[in-house]
Amino acid sequence: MNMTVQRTAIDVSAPLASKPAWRMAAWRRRSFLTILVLIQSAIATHSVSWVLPYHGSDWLEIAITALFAILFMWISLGFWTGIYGFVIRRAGGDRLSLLRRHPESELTNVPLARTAIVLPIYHEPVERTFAGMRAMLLALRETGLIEYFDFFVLSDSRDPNIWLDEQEAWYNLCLESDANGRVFYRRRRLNLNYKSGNIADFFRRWGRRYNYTVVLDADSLIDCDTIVRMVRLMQLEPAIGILQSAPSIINGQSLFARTQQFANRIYGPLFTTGLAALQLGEAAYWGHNAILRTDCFMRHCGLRRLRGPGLFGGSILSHDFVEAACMGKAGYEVWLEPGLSGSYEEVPPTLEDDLKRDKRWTRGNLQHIWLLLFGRGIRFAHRMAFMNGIMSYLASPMWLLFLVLCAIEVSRMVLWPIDYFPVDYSLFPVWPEWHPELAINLTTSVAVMLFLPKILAILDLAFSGAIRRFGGFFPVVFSVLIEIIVAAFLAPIRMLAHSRFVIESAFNIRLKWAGQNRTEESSWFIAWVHQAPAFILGSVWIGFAYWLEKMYFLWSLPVAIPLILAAPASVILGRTRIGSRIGSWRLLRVPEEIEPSPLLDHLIRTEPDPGPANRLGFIGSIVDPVRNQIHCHLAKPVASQIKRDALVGLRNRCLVHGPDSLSSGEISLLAQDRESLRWLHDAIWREPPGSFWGKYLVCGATAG
Amino acid sequence: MNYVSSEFILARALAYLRTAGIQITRQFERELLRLIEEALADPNEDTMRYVMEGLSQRFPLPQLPVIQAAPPIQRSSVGHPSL
Repeated sequence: MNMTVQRTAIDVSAPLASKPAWRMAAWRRRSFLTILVLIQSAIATHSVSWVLPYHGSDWLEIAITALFAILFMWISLGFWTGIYGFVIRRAGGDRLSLLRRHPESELTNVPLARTAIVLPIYHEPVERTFAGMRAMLLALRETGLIEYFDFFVLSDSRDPNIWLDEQEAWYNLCLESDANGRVFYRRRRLNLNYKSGNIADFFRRWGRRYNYTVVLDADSLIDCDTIVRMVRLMQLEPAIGILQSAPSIINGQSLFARTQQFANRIYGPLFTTGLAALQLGEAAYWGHNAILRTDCFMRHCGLRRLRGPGLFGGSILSHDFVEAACMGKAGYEVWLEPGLSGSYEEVPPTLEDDLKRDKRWTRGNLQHIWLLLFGRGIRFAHRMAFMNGIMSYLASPMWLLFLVLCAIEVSRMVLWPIDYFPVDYSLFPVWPEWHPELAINLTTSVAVMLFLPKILAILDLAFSGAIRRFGGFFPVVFSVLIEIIVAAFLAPIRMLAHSRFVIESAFNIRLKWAGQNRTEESSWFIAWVHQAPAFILGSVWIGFAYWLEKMYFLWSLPVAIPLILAAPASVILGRTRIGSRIGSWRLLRVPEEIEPSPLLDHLIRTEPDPGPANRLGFIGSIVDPVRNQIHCHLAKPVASQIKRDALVGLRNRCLVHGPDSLSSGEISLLAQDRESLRWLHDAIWREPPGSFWGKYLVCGATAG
Repeated sequence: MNYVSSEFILARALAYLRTAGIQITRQFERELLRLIEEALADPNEDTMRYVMEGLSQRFPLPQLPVIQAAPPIQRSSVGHPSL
């Protein structure tokens, strides 16, 4: 079947030489944005210097003012991006966007080309991962265009109990969905360079077979129509190297996930539209829910190890931004197309898991400082994308430092004698004076910048009529209020956690590469252990503020209270029961919950089994005759005599003492060897009743 | 050689067949009992081994279809531009 499909893509061996029309528009739009941000930030910074008692005339106040200026610029950038997105959406969309340039009528006639849909995984929940793939497979099959697409599960899992389950889930998927030769499974035995290394490994083996590669995450879902449109857009635009869709969050069950999901669905379109209109052909790649032009990507986007000191050495962790920069450097375009609906992802269910993911991302984004400063040939827009990512995390320690300096400023005013001559050799005294009315004005203007885009998002939904799909006007307004409260509550907790991550990264404290929890709730114990620093800092802060000055105490409450309550907040927000209850009140709901999409129906219908309790991993592979057949089929014979001898020892140990006597690595060795799997299977079933396996078979397998 | 009762061997063999997805019928049980009887007839034989080895010959287990794990490899290289 595969052989009948020809490579019909327009072959691009070099980027197009002519300067595309969007570049001038991009320059105009970005210049306008820069002017707006700078003017607004200059006014705000001037105001803050007037709020301070010495009007920014000593080192402490200069530091406070400088930090405020940077943080304000950061907020202002987001604010104007949202406003711009709103304006564009109300004007009917960006005329330069790909979907406006290539309407549906034109796309329908474009021939498809061979496309691989790859799913790199590492210790992900097996059931959910394969259910998502099955949903996309079945949906694509219904379109009648399945022959253009192959699916690859690219596993980097190290734990044999997980990868054996993956193999089994893959086999069952192929068998039950009649997908032999359509869905493939590959596990790297040596996982070099994390996810980017996994994808590069795929390209080296099978990249030449495909014109395009759609990259997914374990929790990704893309509607078949969207995948087909992405391929056709790539066919029409040979200068595009990467086309990124803007994934919507789905399947949020806990209160935490629901608020993230709701925020993404309500405010996301404004920001992604604004962002896409500013970036145009120099957008960022987010690492999943995107399509790559395979040959260009293979030629230009392999990542070398960084050669800088400490954090800036070794494998690149956040590879996606760098790959987009490489693509731009090679002369190809990278587009974000917010109009590509039907692209989905999930969020971690709890704050704990979200912060765990942020820990990885902090390190990855801070690594980009090296490329931002020393990267050669990287386009300015992609340097700004690096800057954006870096500031996402660096803003937290800056905010923390800002608060600490403000505390010192208040202490100085209350506890220390007044310094009338803060500037050396000055003839005239400076009278310290507070301007609380200016402080209130400034706080109000910051609040407007944070909340106005949210109000505009509601208006956008109301004007477009889409608000009905979220349950109506009043449920949306109440949901936005809940989301604002939760977001404001979480902000100081994130600030402290991100500050810690930044410091750990700066000192190059190594992290363990770990898969994400996408399904479970967090426990009270874990939450208290993880949030203990927040509790201690919040308590000390509020005690100090109360002792120091009553007004300062009141100003500190919005930061200190969330820190003190971080652990209970983390647990309560992670509860799915509370999330479901809120959903049953028609709050924090997204359209897919009200009018389910066919793709999500597939996902729900095809949930293969009730959970990991039913999976037996290594034990299943050597005890169960059916599972043993599957894994023997996928295992390989070992060639080296030394290895074979070692395996004999491991087998015997496993037979006499059970798998707990083996390390994870030793189990992997056995599970990769066909002969060992067969031998163990035969031997286990012949074991006498008093042996380890004899007891197991009486208590375990026979009961099952 | 430890003595294992035929009752235990019968339970083990039935468990194996069930785990393998075989529907146990009267005919199957009779065949299995005959296999155990053969094993018991030889006092030097390891009864458990004899029965478990005989299972696959007497009761052909369902063979799973071979699924292609990966398409044929077409090797190529990935370029690593300097940054």
